[in-house]
Amino acid sequence: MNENRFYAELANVPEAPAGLYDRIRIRRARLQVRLRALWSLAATLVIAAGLWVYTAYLPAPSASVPTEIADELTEMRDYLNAETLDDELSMYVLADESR
Amino acid sequence: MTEIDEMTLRLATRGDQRASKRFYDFYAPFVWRVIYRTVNGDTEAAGEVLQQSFIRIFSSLKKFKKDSAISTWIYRIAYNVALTFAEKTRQASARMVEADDTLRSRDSLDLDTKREVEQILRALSEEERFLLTAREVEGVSFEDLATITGKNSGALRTSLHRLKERIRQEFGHE
Repeated sequence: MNENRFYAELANVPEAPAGLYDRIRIRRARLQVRLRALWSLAATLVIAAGLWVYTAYLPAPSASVPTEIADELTEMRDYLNAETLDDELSMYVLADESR
Repeated sequence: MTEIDEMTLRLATRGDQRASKRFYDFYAPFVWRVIYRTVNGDTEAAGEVLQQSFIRIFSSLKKFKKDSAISTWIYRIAYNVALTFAEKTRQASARMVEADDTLRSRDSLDLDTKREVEQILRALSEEERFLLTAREVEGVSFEDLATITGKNSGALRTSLHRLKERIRQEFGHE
């Protein structure tokens, strides 16, 4: 074999096997499914972690109420906690006792 | 080399199946020729490299910035995939052309010549085989080869010159 024959032979390559494109298409589709699944998993994890942090670490809402409102509320509670129906009527209703 | 029409490229970028097939049919043959020689005639390996290359090409088509010809960009991806693949399967490189039925079945060419070519190519690295085939068979310019390989075009010229000198010497010793 001489040098020219070598270069001629270098260009002499068999055809690519048939069906390679279909394999590429299938592998690509599988890859995309896997990628989407991974993204979904990652998003789920982020949301779950966010919720956990929110519930575990966020301070409980403050229970302090301004004094005026607290007094008002206490007063209302006292009214509502009247022990008998008569008590309640006497507190809330201008009852006509002649009837 | 001639490039695929703009419309097909745009449709393939959007994931259109027919356009993707046209795109593959247009570029796969020349990628195959270079890959086949880069992996030194291992049809199975060349098929795998071609598949991996086109999976990557289709996935990154949207990122193609048109700062080079698309064929150059495709070559670059195929070159990188081929080198990575060769690195991973270096131990398995012994099973070369001997087991290749495709070559055996072609009567028109002399099997001894093929073996001799494979033997000469086997002494070269994957990068050298790529350079030799892309330049000597496909006629890729040194500027494009520089973009593909990330090396200086002057250095590539020198490498190819030395490579051809080595091959010439190989025949001189016969």
